[in-house]
Parts: sequence; structure tokens; C-alpha cells
Amino acid sequence: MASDTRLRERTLEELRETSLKLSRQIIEITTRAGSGHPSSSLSAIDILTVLYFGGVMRYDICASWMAWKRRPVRSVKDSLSALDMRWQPAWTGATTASTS
Amino acid sequence: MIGDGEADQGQIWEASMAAAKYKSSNLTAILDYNKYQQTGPVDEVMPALKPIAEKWRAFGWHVREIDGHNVSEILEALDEVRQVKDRPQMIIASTLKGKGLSPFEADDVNRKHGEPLTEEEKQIALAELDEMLQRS
Repeated sequence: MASDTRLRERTLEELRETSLKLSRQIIEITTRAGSGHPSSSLSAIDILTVLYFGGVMRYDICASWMAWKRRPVRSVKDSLSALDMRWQPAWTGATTASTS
Repeated sequence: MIGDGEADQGQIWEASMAAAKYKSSNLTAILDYNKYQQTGPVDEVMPALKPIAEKWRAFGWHVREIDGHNVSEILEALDEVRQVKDRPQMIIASTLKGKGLSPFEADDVNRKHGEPLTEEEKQIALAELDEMLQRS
């Protein structure tokens, strides 16, 4: 729960700034790769930022995928390039990305 | 997290019926309602998706509509739906593909769906994002 509390302390301004920085990354990596869905990633980036940096998704950064207390469910939408779930542990500071 | 173009597909509605049947109150779906899919505007590709909120209500879900770029509204909606204990919840988040970024907004067909920016477009978009960051 400690990580949950810490994430909650991010202010709305910090969340907006995080979202803009991640938007930069979405554009950088998709152009560099010459592939991906940047516009579909950008439309969801504020939502994803709140979920993963706003203290909504509870997780243990040292534990495995199954240890998420609020688990993300993959869909066609999630599998789009820069929003891929495999990226998200990296975004949120986790060192293990065992999401299959 | 699901997409509006994705909601053309049958598995979304099968899952929606099953979640309502089992009163899956621990399931919260967020629809990224960005209005464009691969082959064009969602309204043209699948006009019957509207009225979108009413559809999920009719399927027995708790539905909340928000601005998907307003972080405060997103947090409020998630707090609200967490109180719902008898049914699954759908948050319909109205969004834009590449909000405020001219290379995306200039494309009236599908807002560059599935299309990375060129190097030149990238420089324009990054400059626009940096301006937003400076203002924030």
C-alpha cells in the first residue's frame, strides 16, 4: 500500500506534465520505429497516466504480473504500440516486466 | 481499456452481457471514445454504435461519461464507479487523437490512425508539446 499512497501524492499538475512527457515518447518511438499507432496512443494517454501514476492501479513493483491488486485487462486497444502493457511497468518504475 | 472502433467487434458485447449476468462489480471498463478508427470516422464506419452510453446502460452496466483528457474528471469517475457494488462499470471517455497537435488534427480521414509521423511532422508535434509543457 505504500506505493499507492506515494502515487496519490502526485498533484493534478504533475499528472498533466507526466502525460505530456509520455506523449513525447509516443511520438519519438513510433517515428523511430516507423511503425505503431501514435494517434490512438495519444488519445488514451491522460487516462493511462491517471491509472498508472495517479494511484489507481495497485501493484507491488517487485512482484510478478499476477500480484497486481487491480489488474489491467488487455484488449485490442491496449495492444497498440506505445500503450502496450509491456511498456507500463517501465513507465511506473518497475524493474520486472513479466507481463507475457 | 477498450477502443471505440474495437466496439464494432462482437467479443465486446459478448463480454458485456456476461459481465452484467454475473454482476461483475469488480470490472471497470474505460472506452477511449476518440471517434476515428482505421478506415474512417466511427460514425460512418458503424453508425449504430450510437447511442453509445444508452447501449451499455441497456446491457445492465453503470455508465459514466467524461472528458478523457481531464485528469481531475478521470480520477473522480474512477472514485465514483468504485462505489458501485452490483454491476460492472463503463467510463465513456471522450478524447481526441493527437489533441492540439497539428500533424494529427490536419488528417480528416482517420487522424493518422496507425501511421507514425514523418521526421518533419515529428519536429512540429514535439515543438507543440514542448509549448504545452512550458505552459503547464
